[in-house]
Formats: sequence, structure tokens, C-alpha cells
Amino acid sequence: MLTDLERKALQNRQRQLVNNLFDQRKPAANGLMVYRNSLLMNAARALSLTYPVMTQLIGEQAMTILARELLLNHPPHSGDWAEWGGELSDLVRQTQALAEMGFLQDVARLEWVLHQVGRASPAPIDVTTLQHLEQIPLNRVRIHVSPAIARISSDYPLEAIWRAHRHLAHSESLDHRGLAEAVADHQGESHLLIYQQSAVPRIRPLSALENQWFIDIQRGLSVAELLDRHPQMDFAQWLSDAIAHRLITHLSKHFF
Amino acid sequence: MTCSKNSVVGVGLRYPHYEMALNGSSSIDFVEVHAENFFAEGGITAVLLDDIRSHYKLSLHGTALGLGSAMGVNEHYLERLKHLVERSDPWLLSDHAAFTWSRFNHQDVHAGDLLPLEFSHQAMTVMAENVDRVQQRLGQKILVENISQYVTFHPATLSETEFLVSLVERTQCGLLVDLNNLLVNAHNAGCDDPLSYAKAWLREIPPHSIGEFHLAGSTPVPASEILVDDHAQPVTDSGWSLFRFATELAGPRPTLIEWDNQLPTWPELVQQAERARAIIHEVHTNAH
Repeated sequence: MLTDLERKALQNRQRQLVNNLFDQRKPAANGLMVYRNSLLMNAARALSLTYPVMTQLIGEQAMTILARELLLNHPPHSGDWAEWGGELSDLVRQTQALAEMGFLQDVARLEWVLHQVGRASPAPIDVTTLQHLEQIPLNRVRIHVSPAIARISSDYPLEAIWRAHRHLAHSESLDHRGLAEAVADHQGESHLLIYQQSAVPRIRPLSALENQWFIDIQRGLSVAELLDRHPQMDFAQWLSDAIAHRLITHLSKHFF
Repeated sequence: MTCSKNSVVGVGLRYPHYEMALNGSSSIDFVEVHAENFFAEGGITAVLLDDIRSHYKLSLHGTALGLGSAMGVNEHYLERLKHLVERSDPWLLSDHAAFTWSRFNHQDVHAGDLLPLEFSHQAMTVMAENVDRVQQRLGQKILVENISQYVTFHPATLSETEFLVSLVERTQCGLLVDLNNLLVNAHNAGCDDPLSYAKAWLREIPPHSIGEFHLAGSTPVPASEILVDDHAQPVTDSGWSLFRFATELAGPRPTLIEWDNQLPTWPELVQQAERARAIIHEVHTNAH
């Protein structure tokens, strides 16, 4: 058995090494540098796996610099590198050198969501609850969106930027002019739905109408209220698609 | 000496080799994967894990348990490892004699690496508590691997082998002996003859406590520079020589080739495992 004092002392000695490891601004001896390099390389590799398009856009060196910043301010805490780096979008927003490429923050946000959705276990659909649509007044029926899907809205043509980069081996092969035109021509907000199909995360654009439909579902509007608010929506077709792509989990009946 | 179920060889399975490993035929007996890479509840890794298990015996190798952490093993991590173990029913389960959970900037952190332990009675008590807790939670014996280390953490009151032997006695865990780590540590300690150092280290370990060997190679450096266990090269001649000695001493044990950086082709990797198998058979034949 250890006394509390002995345990605390050991914790402090271990903590001292960890502090010297994470705060890479302090000078370090050769042995400690091996650990620092290893930590930074692990972190940079994790970021590049989670954010492949960001890596294409700004390069590995810039990603390593961002990894160093993230380590200092948002160190890993789960033991799984795949869960680290969710704050990259915020860091990009705060980094002056990247400010002129305003879309980067949204690309980072999209890649993090893709990463999360791609690792999630798809929620099953309780198809028995579909009978609520026939058995209960629609003003008492609510739709429940799957927790394993996500939506993103952006002022940039986010899908075009992402698709242009995701399979590139080298940024030199990018169609810069085409992409620049797509960005310049883009007007208004773009909306994307991210969901999982065949164990792989997928992206598809949402119209402004579909996006608002999802927002209203998540606000808890009943089916009757949804249909009232969105008369242009083809509910039967939407429901069929939502079931096929596991976008919803169930319908519920609620009481006033 | 028997040459049966322990005469098995495997390789660390890394992503670029998945297609070859899972679609072609292979002579290897088992593969090792890093546990954390399969923590996701869904997605492609969950599918891959099932595919891997249908082809090979599975060794789950953790890199983040932090068994020597004075603040204990992270509960959330342990719960997820338990879930993965239940899902994958691994043939072997291992992690390292290292610490990794600590505090930084007033928050709990995972240090992202295998940090060295001080070889003291206090650290031993902590390590034994953590190993006990993990084995009880997982309902399974684990193997604990000796690490390469690049700083001396604290004046030692035990040798590394005394520390590990005591750990085995107190917890009934097994040891995963990484032979390259012994050579790396000997180099970095300034030993003139790393191979002799490593052999002496092995003689201090009861053979029955060894449950697996790891073999790897490191990028060579001049004697005055720090040698890093980068798993980026084939097993060295010293590594093979040490493996023959270890097999003579302990008998055949499941043996794995670790190669993580500057990956070779799949056939080259398998060839390394086959060389290990040949040595096991030679030692077995000579012993009879």
C-alpha cells in the first residue's frame, strides 16, 4: 500500500515530465526531445488523417504548426488520437495567417463532422412507430432525427471545395481556376447533410427548404405543423428516403 | 521443449497492408492491431475488424492504457477497451510498462506516448494496482511489454527486470518481451555490447512469465546519438541473434514482427515472420 503522500509525490513527478513534454516552448535535453518529436508527429499524423482536405489545402507543415498549438491548448484526453483535434476549426478562425482563406474554417468543421459520423454506430429505425401516421392525429406525431447524422451550413460552396480536394495525391493537380470560379460564383448559404451509408460517411446537398425542414423537426414541431409550414414538401417521398438512409430513428406520439 | 501452439508467428497489421492481408493467402498465424484504432462503435473499422478476425488469430495491443500512471487508468478508456475485447475476443491482449495519464494545464490529459516509469517500490505498487484492476475488469490475463526509454525518470531503487518480475508475481500477468527495445536501451545507455546486455537482461526473467516476443528494427545512428525505436527497418542481425538466444532460453513463444514506418511490401513483412518461424524450428530441432 502507498500512503497518500507517496502517491501524490509520484503523481507530481510524472506530471513534471508531462508538462515538459506538452509545453514545447521550453528548452529540452536530447532524450526529452525524442518524446516531444514523437508526440508532435503523432498529433500531426492524427490531424492529417482526420482532416485530409485541410492538409491538401494548407500543407503538412502548416498542419504540424496547428497540431503544436492544439497540443498546448487542447491536449488529448481520451487515449484515442481519432477523438482529438475537434477544436481545429476554432483554431483556424483565430489564426491570422489563415484568415484570408475564410472557407478553411468551414472545411475543418465539415471534416470533423464527417469524421464523427463515419465512426458512429448507425441508430436503428423503429419501423413499428410509422403506424402513428395512420393511427394518431398528425398534430400529435413527432419525427426523431438520427443522432448519427449532421447538417452543416456555410457561406461557401463547401461541397465543391471538399470534393475537389479529397482524392488528390498532390495539391498541384488541383483545378485551381475551376475552384476559384466556383467560389466566386457562389451566392448565399449552402447546406449539407452528412450521414453514414454502408459504413462510410456520405455528403449530399440540402436545399434551403430541406434544411429548414430538418431544423423544424429538431425544434420538435409535429408532423401537422411541419406540413403546414412546408406545403411544398413531398412528405411521402422524404419519409421513404429518410428510412432508406437511416436519417430518422422513430416517430413518437405526444400529448398536449 | 515443445514446439506446438507457441510456435506461431505474426505481424503488426497496418492499414496499407489490409488489402493484401485480407484478400490473398498468407502463411502467418496471427496479426496484431492497435486497440485504439478499433474503438469506433461504427463505420469502416468495425467492419474491418470482423474481416481480420475471420482470417487470423487476433492480438489486441493497446498503446494507451498507461498501466504505470499514478493517477490510475482512465475509466472511460478502460470501458471502451472492455467493449472491444468483448466484441473481438482476442487471442492475446497486451499493453506497456509505461505511464501516460496525467495532468497538464489543470486538466486530465493523455500524454500520447509511452512514458518511462521510475523503477521504485512506489511505482511498482501503482503498476500492480492498475494491472490488477485491468485484468479483473477485462476478465483476462494481459501481457505487459518492456518499453524503449530515452530519459531516466528518477533514481531507480529496482532494476527493470526486478520491477517486471515483481509485477508478474503480484498480478499473475505475463510479459511481452520486446527484444529490439532491449537493444535500443542498451545503445542509449552507452553499452559497448548491447547484445550481451540484452542477453543478461533476459536471463533475469523467469521463462514461464514470457508470453510473447516482439521483433523490430530501428534506423541506425552513430554510437554517440540516441537510437529511436522507430519500427522502420527490418530486424537487425543482433535482433535475430537475440531472438535465437531468447527462444533457446524460454522456448517457443508467439512472435510478432513490428513494422510501423517506411512500411515494406506485405510479402517482405511476411518473410520476416517466416524467418522467425525458421529460427523457432531450428532451436526446437537442435534441442531434440
